[in-house]
Amino acid sequence: MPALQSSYRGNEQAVGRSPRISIVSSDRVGKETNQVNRQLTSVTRLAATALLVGIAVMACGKPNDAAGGQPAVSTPAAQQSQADQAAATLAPTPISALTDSAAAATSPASAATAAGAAAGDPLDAQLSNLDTLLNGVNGSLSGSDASGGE
Amino acid sequence: MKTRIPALLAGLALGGALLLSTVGVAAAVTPPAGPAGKGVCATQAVAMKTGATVETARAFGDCEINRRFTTLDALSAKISASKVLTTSDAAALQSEIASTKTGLTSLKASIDSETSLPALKVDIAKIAADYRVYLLVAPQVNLVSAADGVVAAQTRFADVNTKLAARIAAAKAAGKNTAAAQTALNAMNTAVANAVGLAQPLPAKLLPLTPAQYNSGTAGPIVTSARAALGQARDQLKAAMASAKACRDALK
Repeated sequence: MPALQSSYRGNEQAVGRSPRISIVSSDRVGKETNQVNRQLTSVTRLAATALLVGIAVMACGKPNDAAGGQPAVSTPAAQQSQADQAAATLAPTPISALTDSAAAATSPASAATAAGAAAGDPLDAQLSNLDTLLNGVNGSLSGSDASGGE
Repeated sequence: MKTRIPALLAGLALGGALLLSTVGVAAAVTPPAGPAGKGVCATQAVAMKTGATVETARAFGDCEINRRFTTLDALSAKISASKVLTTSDAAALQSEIASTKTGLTSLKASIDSETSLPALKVDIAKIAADYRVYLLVAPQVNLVSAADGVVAAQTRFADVNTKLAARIAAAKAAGKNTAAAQTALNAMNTAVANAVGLAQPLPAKLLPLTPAQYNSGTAGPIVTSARAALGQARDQLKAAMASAKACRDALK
């Protein structure tokens, strides 16, 4: 049986003779087990790292998803645009305190309310629009109070 | 198992680092100070006070004019975007903004070419006194917008009135008691009429006001009383809204 592997050779040799226990060297077993373990731990390590990187990338990408599923990496132009928007929003101008009726009318929250109301009773939709208009009047009134340091 | 824990920790650290870097990018976008706020020219003002030279005075004057340009542009955009301003009021306001910008542009040219400090100081004083961007022009835009908004609400309340009156008629025909609904509807219409009565005359009073009138003390009280009247008009509209909802609910 020349094709048999060496570890089985001892058993084969025992056939036809007196029964003998084949003893496999414990050193050899240990080496093979270590090799398998080493392969397993590196695969696990790779998989765990890849999974966590994937989760992290997904978490980073989420805010941009709301803006139309654009890539998570923002371009310099996009960053500038964001900075401009933030500046425009936070600038302490006498006008920035205002809420124009037109601006209020196009705000997402009020638009959503109006759309929700429109889906039901048309009267509710009209009242909702009037609420928006009233908010605009309110905003203009508050904005008229700024002196701007004059 | 011992080798898996460091691998997991490394992965977590990497993921955390990525997340923190994202947060860092967001936090790094610190908004600069606004170009039209009154604190915008604070540095130039301090420089002029500590060492008044032609250069420091000019820098302060230019800064003050530029922030007014920014404010005027924003006011102009507000007028263009408004859905409630009447065409004539919008045109009058845009015209006022345009003439104010023309005047300030001319004043800036004078400041930029001036070489005498006393003359520069006179020019700088004109930036506020001759144009009154913040004390007159901005309130004019805002108060006329508010007044036109109140008047625009009248048409919408008229539609609401039509719908509620039809519902009252239908409920009455069905044998229901509609007294409470009718009372609420009447209250709504009264409140709307009061609001419109308060707001309608205001654009005609506000639009002709000039910086000279403000400086002489005649425009300020008109602006103040217009603001008070619009506050009352807004409260009347709120009451009208409440009455409209009460009427609708009484019919349910």
